[in-house]
Amino acid sequence: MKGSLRTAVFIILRTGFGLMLVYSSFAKIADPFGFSVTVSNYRVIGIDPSRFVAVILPFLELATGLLLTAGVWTGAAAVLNATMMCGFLILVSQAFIRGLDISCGCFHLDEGKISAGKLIFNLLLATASLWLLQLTRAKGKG
Amino acid sequence: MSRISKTLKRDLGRAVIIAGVSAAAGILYNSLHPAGLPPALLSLPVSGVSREQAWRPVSTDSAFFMYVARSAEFVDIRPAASFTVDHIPGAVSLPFIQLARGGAGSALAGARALIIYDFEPHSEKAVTAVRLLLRFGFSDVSFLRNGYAGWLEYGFPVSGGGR
Repeated sequence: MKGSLRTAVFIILRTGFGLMLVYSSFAKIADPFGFSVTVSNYRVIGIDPSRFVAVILPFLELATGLLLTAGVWTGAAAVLNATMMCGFLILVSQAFIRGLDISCGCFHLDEGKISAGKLIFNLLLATASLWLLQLTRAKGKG
Repeated sequence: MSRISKTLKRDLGRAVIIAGVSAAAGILYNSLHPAGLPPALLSLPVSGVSREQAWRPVSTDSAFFMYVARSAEFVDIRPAASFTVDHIPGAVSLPFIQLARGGAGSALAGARALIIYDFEPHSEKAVTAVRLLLRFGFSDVSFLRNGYAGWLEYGFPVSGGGR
């Protein structure tokens, strides 16, 4: 890929993920108990550990999003972003395979049920996050 | 190769710092914000009251008999605005977060049997409220299995402007 095109893709992915993470953190910060129930609905961890996830994860999303958008500590933020996106993909996949009739909770707590479309969307996000990580490493940003 | 590993090591170190600061910010925000999850909710796992122990559902019919016999106090854990619209007659308004922040002591002093209700059936908030009240020293606590929605569905009496 040419240098200028690579830079353009890098900026689009960086700011795109940054803004998306900031946006998605708002609903979770506003209703932490509701988010903890959403997390426990995935049936990977119980309701008690879910509350810790509900307290910490939205702020991790917010911090990662702000750093990506601002272009500060991009390497570290890209590592966290890729970790979260791959984690979300695993969670959504296992829920889809088990046929759980639950809300994704990705952007809003009461959004639509997990479907093949959601799975594909999460797959695309995970792939794009790994691409961003690779571009960050290639550029030696940080 | 060594440069890559050095960069990776630096990024992983920074990622740990970001995660740590985020965790601290999350705990601080939730402790201070009125709508946040207070420490009492985060420490429930170590309080010795499990979700199974707090699974004490009461059917709508049984709750109505207790309402008629005045043998239990109803506790409405919905937001105060919902309580103002309508509620079970004689119920005490104790919004969930207020309860989690230790507001039960004064509001429910001297109460005997308590029946907690949220709007929806099998509410996780209602079960958690039972756990909190058991932890706070109340012994006879249960929750309305089908919630206030079930109460309305049965056409049982309500107070307020709702119906």
